[in-house]
Amino acid sequence: MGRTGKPLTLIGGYLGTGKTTLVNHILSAGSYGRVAVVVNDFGSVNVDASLISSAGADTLELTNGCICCQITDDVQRTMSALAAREDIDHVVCELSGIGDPARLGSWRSYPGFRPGPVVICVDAAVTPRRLADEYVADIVTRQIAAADILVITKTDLATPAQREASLRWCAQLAPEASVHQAGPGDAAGTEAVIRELTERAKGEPAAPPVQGNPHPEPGQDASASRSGSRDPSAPDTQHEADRSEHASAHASLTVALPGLNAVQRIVAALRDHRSALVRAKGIIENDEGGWSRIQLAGDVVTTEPVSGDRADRPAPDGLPEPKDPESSLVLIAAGPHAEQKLRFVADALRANACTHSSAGAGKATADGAGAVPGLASGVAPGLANDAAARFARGAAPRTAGTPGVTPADGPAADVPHPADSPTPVHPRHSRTAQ
Amino acid sequence: MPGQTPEPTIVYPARLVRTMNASCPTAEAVAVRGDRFRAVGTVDELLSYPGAVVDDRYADDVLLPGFVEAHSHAGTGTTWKGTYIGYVDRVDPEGRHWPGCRSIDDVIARLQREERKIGDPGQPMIAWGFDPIFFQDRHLTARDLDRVSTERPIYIGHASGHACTVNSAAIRRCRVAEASHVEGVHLGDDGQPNGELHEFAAMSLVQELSAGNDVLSVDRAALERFGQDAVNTGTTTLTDLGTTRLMGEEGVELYRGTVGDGFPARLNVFHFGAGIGPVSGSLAEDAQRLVELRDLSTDRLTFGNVKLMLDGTLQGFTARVREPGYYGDQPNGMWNVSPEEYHRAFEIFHRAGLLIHVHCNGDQATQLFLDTLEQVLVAHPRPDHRHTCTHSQMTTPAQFRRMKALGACANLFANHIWQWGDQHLDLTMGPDRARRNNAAATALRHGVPISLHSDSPVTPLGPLKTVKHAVTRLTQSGRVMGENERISAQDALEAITLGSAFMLKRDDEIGSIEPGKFADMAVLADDPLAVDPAEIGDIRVHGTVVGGRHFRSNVGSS
Repeated sequence: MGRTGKPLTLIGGYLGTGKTTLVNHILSAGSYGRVAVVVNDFGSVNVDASLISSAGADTLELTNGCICCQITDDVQRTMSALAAREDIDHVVCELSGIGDPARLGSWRSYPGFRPGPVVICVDAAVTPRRLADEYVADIVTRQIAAADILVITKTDLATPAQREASLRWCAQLAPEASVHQAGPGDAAGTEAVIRELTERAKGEPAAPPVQGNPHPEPGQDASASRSGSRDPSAPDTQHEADRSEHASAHASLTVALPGLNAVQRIVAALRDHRSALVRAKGIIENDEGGWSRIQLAGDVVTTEPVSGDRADRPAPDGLPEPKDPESSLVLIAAGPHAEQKLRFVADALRANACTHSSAGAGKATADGAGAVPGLASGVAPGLANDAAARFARGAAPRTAGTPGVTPADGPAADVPHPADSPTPVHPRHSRTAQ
Repeated sequence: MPGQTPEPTIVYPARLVRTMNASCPTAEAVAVRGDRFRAVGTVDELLSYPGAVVDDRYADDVLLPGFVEAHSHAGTGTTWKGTYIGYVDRVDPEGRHWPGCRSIDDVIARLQREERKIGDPGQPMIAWGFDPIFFQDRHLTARDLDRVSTERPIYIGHASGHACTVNSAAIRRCRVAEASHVEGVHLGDDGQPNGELHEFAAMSLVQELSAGNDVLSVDRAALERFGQDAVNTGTTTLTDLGTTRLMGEEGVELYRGTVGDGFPARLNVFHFGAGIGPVSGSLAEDAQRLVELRDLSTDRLTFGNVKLMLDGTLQGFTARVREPGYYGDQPNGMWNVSPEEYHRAFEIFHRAGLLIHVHCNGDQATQLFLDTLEQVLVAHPRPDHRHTCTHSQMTTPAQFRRMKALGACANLFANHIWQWGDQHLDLTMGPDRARRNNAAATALRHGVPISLHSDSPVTPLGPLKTVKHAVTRLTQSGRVMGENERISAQDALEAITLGSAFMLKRDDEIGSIEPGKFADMAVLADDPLAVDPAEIGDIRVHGTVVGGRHFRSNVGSS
């Protein structure tokens, strides 16, 4: 009893972030098996009346096989009843707007359940403001940090600056979560979210954390979720367990990009390879004498200059960016071929890295007009490295601080230390406590 | 009326009548006609009223206005279905004295004694009041409880509501060992569940044992026990601060059927509007129903008030606090409702003309109470609303000033000073901010109307003890927590009579001994202003008078 069971997926996010919209899609889709959805309030559920085959006080049964339950005063009764049902493939629970997935995640180890992913909806317009709000900043921070899948919603109501700020926060608070954008009417975006959460939920059951032995056994590494059942006040062992669990579900790679980079080329290369990546982020030295932050989140690549004083950057809540002073990007990919994808994209980036690289390297990419044909034809990483070597400032091999990030791979790290390398201006790396 | 015999006016001479009416603070007697006070004065004066007769049953006693408890729960009567094993002394509604259990051994001894009295061997034993914060270095586990019984399931709810401990019979019956991987199931060195279950997923494994014993479960017997508890403590007006049952007929009928003219206290029932479970999808309809229920109110039973709950507790580290946070830098606490949903609920109930009391333990909760109140009042002005910040435990001086400016009241949790004062000094707030825990003197300095409360069953009902705590600010270890926040016994007595009547909007009918008000009195053996402040809580309560009817305490003299 207990180690198997149906996945319990949590859908969280602050009030008004679009949780119910997502739930409505899951219910009406009906194409992902027999799903039971637990909602706070029937009133907000919008199911086509013709789909309802029977309706009780707290339960709707749909003709497509889905079930919708309203949470009553007695959460324990609702959840334990669902856990006991054997005719359900997957339970999706909508949390309240202030629900802390880490706290409620403990249900995922209840007999009859196993952990599914934590999906957090993020309102593109107001999230930055909420993260500065005295009353709810910590609540929203915890929600986002617990996410395996982030859904950026209400993009139509957000200014580009708000949307970018929201994406930036997501990148800092949940660097390993996959990010989807699902504006209103974006059926494809919503579909992609549901597909991912269903696939993750299907993953092999992972060993739930056991007190005294928080480290998962080798082989039990296919985890649907990296968090959601941890006690924020618990000692770090639990986090360590989360990290090692996650490391195998995702792969990541730090690509050093030393020298003065043409930012637009890096951006273009990332954009071309966005489908291979879950996320990318980092800060690189640009060819205008400054530094640029580059992010890939939710299939969108963004860039912005980084001022000399980076104190304006919001606290990453313990989840680090690549450490100063290196000019580098962290790439994250998922799936069975994640490592291959990472090497492939890393090569593409290196090929586009440095404006002061040799003419040959520059041409190889310029000709491709952003498509980076050189990669397809297997441009040797050495090209970029040769170029980089001239201006490199000593990128030593290192282990990235990001949970689950593997050490930087060989070639980029093996850059020699030329004596004449320019002294980089190290942006001050400061974090404000929350 | 002509042709009818007028009701008699009964003159009660007393050792002293303390009225809480500043124009006539003391008197030698009080006259009652029907259910109302007719006059106070000398016996001679009172005998001049038509039909006056003397009843000298209280000739040796001290009469005060009946005490008004503005924050308590009818579930007080439910908890006594289980065995009390809390740290402080209590008296049950049958008048029995239960000494506090000061060690795990005390707990076990109490359970052993009471277990033998339960007949059916299959019936689970339930105990309440256990608070692990008093036993920092020692956990209560199944091994301890197995000393009580290895056959009968035993369930010990922790005071926080977030954990319980069960014995091995319960572990067997509820098959906890088969679910030992559930988060919150604590394991012993042998890898087996040790009986401690934390948070709701783990606790639900044994929920069948404790069903119907929670504070929100109330039946007729529980209400009657609650009423007797009031008599025993001199309380003539109670509150049930937060029920979810008024939206159904059955719940309303329970109150109406039980709290009639013979009930020994007045009861103000507050609808639990937000902060427990999902917020109702039809707040406007709920408000409308409460307005209609208000018209069903009687002299004894009041409907039409609302309770909203914002945060958790200080001793559970779940209260929402502002900078600089908890003493040990623990993470901030939790909201029971989002600020937006709270705003919506507050606005709707306010606009319906209802009185709202808001649970705010931490100062960040108080801040949200004030911010929301100001916004709602600007949009929907309402004179003399008397909305109340209840608990208001960590309210700052600036917040009290703002409370005054916005016309709000503060109901302070003075019993905390005694029950958890040492923990506030040493664990939760630290020696500095613990000084302003339940800062009654600051509130009064800034002109905020206050009351003092017990939150029974969280701490024992007993307004005289509550007065003692506000006057002495003594903790259980004997320290004075915030000497400058002590208030006078006169101010404290006023807070638990007129002060609470004011924030229930009933100060025109109760809260002082004045002609025309309901004849509600606490019958005491001594004058609270004449004894050492530390002994105010020990004054013997003989009983109460409610609407002219007499009720005797069932507590034996000690």
